[in-house]
Amino acid sequence: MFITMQRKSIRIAISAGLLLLLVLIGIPAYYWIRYPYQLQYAEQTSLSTKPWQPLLLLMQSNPDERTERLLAVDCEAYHGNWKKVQQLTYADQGSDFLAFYHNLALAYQGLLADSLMHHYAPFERALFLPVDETGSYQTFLAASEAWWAVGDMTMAEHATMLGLIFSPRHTGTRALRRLAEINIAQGDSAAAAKYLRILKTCPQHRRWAEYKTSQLTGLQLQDGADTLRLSRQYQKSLRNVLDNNPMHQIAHEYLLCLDLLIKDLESFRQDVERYGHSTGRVYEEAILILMANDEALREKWHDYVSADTYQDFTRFNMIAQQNESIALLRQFEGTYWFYFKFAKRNEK
Amino acid sequence: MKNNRCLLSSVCALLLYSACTPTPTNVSEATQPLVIYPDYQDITVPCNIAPLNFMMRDETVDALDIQISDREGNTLLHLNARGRKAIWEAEGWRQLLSTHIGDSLYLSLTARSDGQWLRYPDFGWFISADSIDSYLTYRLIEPGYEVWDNVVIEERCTESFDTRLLADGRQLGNRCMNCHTHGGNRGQYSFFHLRGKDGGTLLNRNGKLRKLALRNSTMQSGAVYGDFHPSGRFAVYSNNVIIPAFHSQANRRLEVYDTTGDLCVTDFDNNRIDNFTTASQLMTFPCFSADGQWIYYCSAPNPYGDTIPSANDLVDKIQGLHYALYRIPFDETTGKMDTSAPERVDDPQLTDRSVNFPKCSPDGRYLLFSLSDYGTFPIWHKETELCLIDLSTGQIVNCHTNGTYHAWCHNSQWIVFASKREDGQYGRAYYAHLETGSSAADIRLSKPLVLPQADPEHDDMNLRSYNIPDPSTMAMPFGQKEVKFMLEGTKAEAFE
Repeated sequence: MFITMQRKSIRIAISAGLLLLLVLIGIPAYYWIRYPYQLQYAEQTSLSTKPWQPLLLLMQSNPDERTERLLAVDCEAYHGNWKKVQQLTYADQGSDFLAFYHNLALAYQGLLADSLMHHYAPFERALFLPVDETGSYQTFLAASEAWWAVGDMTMAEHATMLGLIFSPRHTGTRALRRLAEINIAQGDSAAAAKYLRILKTCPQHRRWAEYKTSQLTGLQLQDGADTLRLSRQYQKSLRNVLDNNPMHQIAHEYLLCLDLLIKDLESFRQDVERYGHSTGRVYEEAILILMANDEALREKWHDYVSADTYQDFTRFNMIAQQNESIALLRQFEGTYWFYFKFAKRNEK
Repeated sequence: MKNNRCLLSSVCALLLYSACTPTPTNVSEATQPLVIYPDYQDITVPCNIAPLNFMMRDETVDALDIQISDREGNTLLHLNARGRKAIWEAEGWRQLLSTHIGDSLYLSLTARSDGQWLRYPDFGWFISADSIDSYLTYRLIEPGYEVWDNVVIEERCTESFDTRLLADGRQLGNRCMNCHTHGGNRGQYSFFHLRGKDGGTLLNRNGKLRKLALRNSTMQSGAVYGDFHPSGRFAVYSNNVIIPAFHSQANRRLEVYDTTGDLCVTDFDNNRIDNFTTASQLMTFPCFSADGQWIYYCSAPNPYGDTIPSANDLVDKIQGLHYALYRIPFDETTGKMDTSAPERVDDPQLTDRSVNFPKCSPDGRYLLFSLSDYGTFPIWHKETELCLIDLSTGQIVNCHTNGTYHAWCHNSQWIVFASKREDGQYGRAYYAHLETGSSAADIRLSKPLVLPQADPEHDDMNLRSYNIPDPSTMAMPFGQKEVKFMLEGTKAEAFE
C-alpha cells in the first residue's frame, strides 16, 4: 500500500510539474504568437538587457487586437516594408494614423502624387501627425518617421525625443537608434555617441552601436542656411529642406501634396514654379483648378495636363453645375476636384 | 556540515578573488592622452565636495591603479581596482580634502588595457579653501521642447551623493514646474512655480510655505524668471509669453523667444504687485543687486514697436533680437521701481550680441551674465559665454567659459552653471571658482568641474537635463508631501 501511495504521489508531482511547465511556456508562447507586433513594440520602447524582458512587458501591458493592428503598420514601417504598410493600411478609412502611414508608404514608392486622393485625407494630418499635447508616444514615434523621410533632422529629432519621453519607461531602443542615426546624418558625433553608449548596454543592439561608433571618427557637422520655424510650419520646413537639397524627392512630393491637402493653391503654384513638379495625377487636377481662374494658363493646358484629365475635369464641372452631388461622389470621389469642393475640417 | 564547508569555501574564494586586484607590472608610458569622464584633470577642487569619481573613456581598460600624492611625493591615497572606474572611498576622501586645504595634489594613473599596463601623465588638483554651498537644487527635465512628462525638482547634497525630491511631477498631476530659486544668501527663501489648475508660485520664507497667484490684470502672463530682494520681502519677476521654435541647422535645435516681456515687483507682506510694462521693449531675466537698491534686467527693442507680435511674425526676426543689460533703482521703503530712466550697464558696443541671465554676487562686487549671438535662450547656444562685470569699475571681462543659468555660492567665490557642452543635448551642472588678481583683466574662472556622481557612468546613461542649478547652504524645509498638500489643499493668495 505504501508503494502504491508513493507511486501515486510521484504521478501527481509529475502532472503538476508538467502543468506548471505548460503554463510557464504556454502563456508566453500565446502572447508571442498572438501579439507579435506588440511584442516588437515592447522591445522598441524599452532598454531590455535580457531577451525575455520584452515578453514580460507585453504581458503586463494588456495587449489588444486594435493596438496589434496599428502597431503592425508601425513596425512594418519602421523596418521599411512599405509595400506591406500600403496593404495593411489600404482598407481603413477614417484613421489619421493609418492615413499618415499609407501616404508615407506611397511616398517611399514614388506613388504619392498619383494616389493621394484614393484614401482618407485629413488635411495636413494625412502627411504630418501633430507633435503636441494631443499626441501619444506612439504618434510621436510615428511622426518622426515622416520627418526622417523628408530629411528634416531637427523635427525628426524633436518627434523622436518626445516618443522617448512619453514611452512607458522613458526610454527605448527604437528612439535611441533613431536619435543616433539623426545625429550621425547631421555630423554631430558628440550627441550620437551619447545614444550609442546607452545602446551598447543592450546585447541585441551592441554590435550595431559599436559599428556606428566606429563611423563617428572624422564626422563633420553639416552646413547649410539656418531657418527658424514653429513646429506646425510644415511648408516652411519642407521648403528649407528643398532649398538645401533640391533633389530630395520625398520632400518635394510632400510639399506639393501638403499645399493641395490644405487647399493652398497659391502656394502650390509658387512651389511648382520654384521647385518644379514631377508627373502625378493630383498635380494635373490641381493645375486645372488653377486654370479655371487664369486664362493665360488655360491656353497652355496641354503643356501641363493630359487630354484624359482635361476631359474628366470638363465632365466634373458639368455635373457640379447641375448640383448632382451623388453623381460627383460616384464618379469623382478619388479626385482632387471632389476633395477641393467638399472636404471640410472637423474642428473637433 | 557539508553545506557549511561549501559556503565557507565560496566566501574564501570570493575574498581571494577580490584581494587579487591586478597591480601594475611592466608598465609602459601611454602614447595617447588620458581621456576620462568627467574631465577632472588639472582643476580647482572645493574643500567640501563629494568624491570626484571618474572613469576612463577607453572601454578596453579593465584595471586601474591611481596614486594621489602631495608636492613632496608622499602617497596620500591609493586606489587599485578592477574595471575602468575610479570610485573613492567616502571617509578617505573627506580626510584627504580636509587635511590638504590650500595644497596641490598630484594624481598618477596607470591603467591596464589588453593586458598591457600604461602610465599616463600626472595631473593635478588644487584644494581650494573656499567651499561650495552644501546643497544644490535643480529641475530634472528631458529636453522635450513644448511638452513634458514627469518633471521633478531635486535637492542634492553636494558633500555626498544624497538626493531627495522636493517636487515630483507624477504626484502633482504631471504639472510643469519652473525652476526652484533661492534667495537670502543662505537659501532661507525660495520659490518655484507650479503651473496648471490649482497651481501658483510656492513661496518658502524661513520654512513657511504659501501658494501665491502672482498675476494682476496688467500682466500678460504669470510670473516667470525671478529673484529675491535681500530682505526676502520682495521679489522681482518677468512675465513673458514664451514661444519655442526650431532651427534647421544641424545641432542648433531649439530656440525659445518671447513675444511679450514685462517686469513686476511683488510685495509678499502686503500682497501687492508693482508693474513695469512697456510694449516697445521685451524685458526679461530681472535680478536684484546684492544691496537691493537696483534691479538689473535684460531688454531688447520689440521689432514691431508698440504692437505685440504674433509667434509667426517674430520667428523670422529672432536672429536680430539682441538683449542689452539695464538697471533701474528700487526703493525698499515704497516697494516701487523707478522706471523713468533705465540705465544701460553693459558695453553699448555689443550691438551684435545678446546679454542674458544677469546675477549679482552676494558680496556686491560682480555681476555675472551670459553672452550669446542673439535671443533669450542661451542654454541651446554653443557660443554662449559667461562674462563678469566688476561693478566697482564697470569693466567687463569675458571668462570664455560656455555656460548659463548660473548662480553664485554664498561666499561669492564659486559659481554653479548649466551647460550642454558634452553632447549638445543634455545640460549638466558645473562648478567653477572665481580667480581674481590685481586687476580686472586677471579675473577668470577655473576649469569647470561637473557635479560628481556616485557612478561616473550616471551622466552617460542619464536622459534628463540638470536645469537651472541653484545652490544654498541649507536643505529646504519642505519636501514632496508639503508641496502636494499646498497644491491640492490650499487656495492661491490673490495679488493686486
